[in-house]
Amino acid sequence: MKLIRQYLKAILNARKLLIYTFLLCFVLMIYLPFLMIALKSIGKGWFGRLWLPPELTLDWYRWAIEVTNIPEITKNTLIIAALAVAMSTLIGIPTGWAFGRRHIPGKELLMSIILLPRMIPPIAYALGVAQIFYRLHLVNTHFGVALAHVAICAPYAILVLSATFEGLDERVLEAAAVCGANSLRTFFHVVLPLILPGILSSMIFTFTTSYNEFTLTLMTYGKDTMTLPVRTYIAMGEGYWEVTSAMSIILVIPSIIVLFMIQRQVAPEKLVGGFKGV
Amino acid sequence: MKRGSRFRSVLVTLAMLSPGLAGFFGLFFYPMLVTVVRSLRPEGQQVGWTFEHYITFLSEPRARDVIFLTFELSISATICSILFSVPLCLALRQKLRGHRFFRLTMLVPRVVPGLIGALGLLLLLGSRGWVNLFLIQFVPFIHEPVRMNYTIPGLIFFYTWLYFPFTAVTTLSTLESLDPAIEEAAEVAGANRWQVLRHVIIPLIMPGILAGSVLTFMAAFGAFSIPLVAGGNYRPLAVEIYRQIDFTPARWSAASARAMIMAALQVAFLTVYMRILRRPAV
Amino acid sequence: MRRSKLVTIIGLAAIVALMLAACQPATVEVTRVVQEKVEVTRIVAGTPVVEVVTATPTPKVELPTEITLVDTNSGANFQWYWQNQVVPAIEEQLGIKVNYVVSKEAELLERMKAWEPGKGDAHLLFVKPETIPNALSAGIELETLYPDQVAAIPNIEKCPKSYLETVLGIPIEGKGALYWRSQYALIYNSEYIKNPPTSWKEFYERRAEWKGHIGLVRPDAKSGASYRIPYSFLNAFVKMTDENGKAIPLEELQKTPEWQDAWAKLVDFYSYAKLPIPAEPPNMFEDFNAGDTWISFYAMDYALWSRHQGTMPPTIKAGFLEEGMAAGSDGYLIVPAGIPEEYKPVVYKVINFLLSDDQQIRLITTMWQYTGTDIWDKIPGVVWDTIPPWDKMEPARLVIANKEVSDFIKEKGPALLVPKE
Repeated sequence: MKLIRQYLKAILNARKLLIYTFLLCFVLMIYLPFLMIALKSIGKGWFGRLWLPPELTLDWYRWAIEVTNIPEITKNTLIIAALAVAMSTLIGIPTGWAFGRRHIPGKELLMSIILLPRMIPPIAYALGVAQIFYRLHLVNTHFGVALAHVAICAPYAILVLSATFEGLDERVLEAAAVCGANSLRTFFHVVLPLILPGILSSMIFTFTTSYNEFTLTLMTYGKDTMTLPVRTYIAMGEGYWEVTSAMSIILVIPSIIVLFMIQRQVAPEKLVGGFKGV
Repeated sequence: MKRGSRFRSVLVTLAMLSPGLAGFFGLFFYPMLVTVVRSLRPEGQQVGWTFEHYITFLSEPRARDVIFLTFELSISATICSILFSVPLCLALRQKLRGHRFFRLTMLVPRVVPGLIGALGLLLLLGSRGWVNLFLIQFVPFIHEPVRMNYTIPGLIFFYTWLYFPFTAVTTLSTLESLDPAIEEAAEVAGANRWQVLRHVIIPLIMPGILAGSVLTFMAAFGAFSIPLVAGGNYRPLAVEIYRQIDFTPARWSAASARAMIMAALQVAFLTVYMRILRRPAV
Repeated sequence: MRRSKLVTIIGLAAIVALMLAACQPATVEVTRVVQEKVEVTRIVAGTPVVEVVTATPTPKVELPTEITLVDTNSGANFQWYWQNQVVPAIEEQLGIKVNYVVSKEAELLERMKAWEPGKGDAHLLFVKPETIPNALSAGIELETLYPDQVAAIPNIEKCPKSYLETVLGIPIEGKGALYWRSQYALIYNSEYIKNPPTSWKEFYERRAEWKGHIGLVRPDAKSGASYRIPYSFLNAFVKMTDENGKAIPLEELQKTPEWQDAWAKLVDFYSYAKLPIPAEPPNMFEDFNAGDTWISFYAMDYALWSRHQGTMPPTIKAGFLEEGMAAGSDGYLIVPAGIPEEYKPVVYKVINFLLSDDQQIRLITTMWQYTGTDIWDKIPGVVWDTIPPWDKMEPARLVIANKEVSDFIKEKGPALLVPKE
């Protein structure tokens, strides 16, 4: 406790320099692993204790694309993610609307029930999902894998969207009605622009979740629905970590680009599902 | 007339709620029930009831180690996340130049798959990773690479790396919603910076920190990809469950029993934790 | 009030319904196998191969030009080899298109069990030796390739007879053709080790020289190295089979002083390993690349090919231990009897091509894998600079014949062998 106190105190007192050093360490901690992967994926003959690979090569990328069939796998991943986004949004909009705009008895309780999947380790219900899907022949179909992802994505979509609908100002709607807009017009010209950022952020969130989802995919994938995270996992078990690194870079770059692109449109904090009071 | 429209509005509400509820029951509740039922069936059979899987697992001496390990990792990771997030948020709060970039950086571990984070950390902290090269070259008395991968402290670091954003984001948003007037008042009253921090800010953001730490704990407890690839000989419950269905033939019932134990432990721990949280701020 | 009641009632009804649904499987599950069959036939329908079949149902004999090859044996290196070298060669020289599919044994057997006779969709299988008895005991019929199909596959005559008659001590009556012989070997980094041991006994005696640098894999790893390393080690000190090659029961074995001595040595040997003991081979190879691990015992083809590709140091070499070089997973080509008749001649043609001298020589020169056919005099001499010649290797080749011992290692090994930290 004393140590922590001193630690905090030092940060407060020694001002900017210390703060920047701390932040620098933080940035290094986050990005160095990716740098290592990137170097590994283009390095050749990097043995023993060297800081940098002695030779550069693109062989591992060629291998990843030719042998492990990355284009096909990327296609699967994107189809599944798109399906999962569509389904979660379709579930999220009406339910979010009901939560945000309607009087529901026991709303708190109902909400916490819908958010229950977050309380339970995903692997616990992934087991059940896998068994049900085997029975329904949903395993190894794009739709099935996407549906499994919805189990994780939908609660977040509902959460984000209900907050959006709740934030709609009643007075704006009234004003629109007073100005003589019919309900269709109101919806398209007033409501939609207001809720669009919410929908967008929920879609982006569900997309990243589905794109990165591993546990549920591992339980429900088949040879035709291999996704990038699962393929990366298999590759890690096969050895040739250079190739695995190349695959990881292919998988990671889009995520990071998306993160930096969307930061102006939506509050990126939403990606963490950051909300108070659990 | 009025009653009719009220009834209709109830129906509309229900209709609107139904997709969410259908999703919940179909994709969460029903699978959980299937898992429960499966965990009570004899292995590979569809009839009969048995507690055998629970008893065999819990009577193994290894079970205690596995459960202890799961808690050890997730609780340590939660504590480390808090210790790391609070100074980070205090630093970010100052709106230094480039704070936007730092904020985004904070989210990176959440938007990349855990597997890849794990691969990168394995490479970085390995015996020939940059961290060890740095230690060997620049730190006196270290001539041998320090073993970090596949050890408990290493794993805790992996977990913290991956799951601290939950705590950090929640803490930061609480910190930013603080009314600056409170601090000013404290400063006017003659408190120094440290006192303001200790007696004003920390108690005020405590609920945010704790709420965030619950998220971190839940994620760390259920962590699967990281221990699967970077755990080495340490196999927490999630990996233990997966190993059961990775056998040929798969042991679904044994896996389900372990999953139920895991879910029960998590719910029990969270209930206790929430109880403590509800108390007046520490 | 009424509303909340309504909600409660609907909620309860849903819960009860789901409970019943969850408990009810007893009846659903009986039909499950049948449903899986449907699934399989659905998969079948999805592959282009079957479209070819349905397109030519006429009795006119027209040979298919496309077959499916399912591989449950190859690792990453051989998957590369099949896709980049073998499949294009078959298409170019025989005009047969091969759909190369990687699968797992359990998955494959499940699918095959559900086949309707004559409708199978995996025409040629490339499997591990144990898959043949496993398939036969699961009631899956395989074509007898030797001696029945010698006319269609003349090259099968070059395969050693003993490998066609039995695998792992179990008779298979010529149901498979031997494509390659996989071999474990001593793998060492010549940068650190100038004179490697030449026998397990020497390896054990000189263990102190390499303390902390011996690469072992955890006994509960999924890789076959998990039990092959300790099994070969034990074999050097204790006989685990009788004169006829039959396994001695473990219980009997454990009472002998030789076993106890050998086991004690093995435990001791593990304490000289690079710690922590890697969970799977890729982690061990990471240690090799870092220069932390110098010497190990692993699949020869993997290590040498990795060296060639530049994913392992160029100083890696393969060595020879005279009393026990565990056999890896030999590669067998098998043909299920349940595939459409018109495919069989095409498949035999492909097998014959794969066993041809040209293909077999490529196997050993590019992949460092011993050939399935005995054509040692045709292989370029330079090969033997890199790997031990077969006539030297063969007497030392050790088939894992005592399954009880390997199971014991996998099950009890983690607790008994892995040093406590």
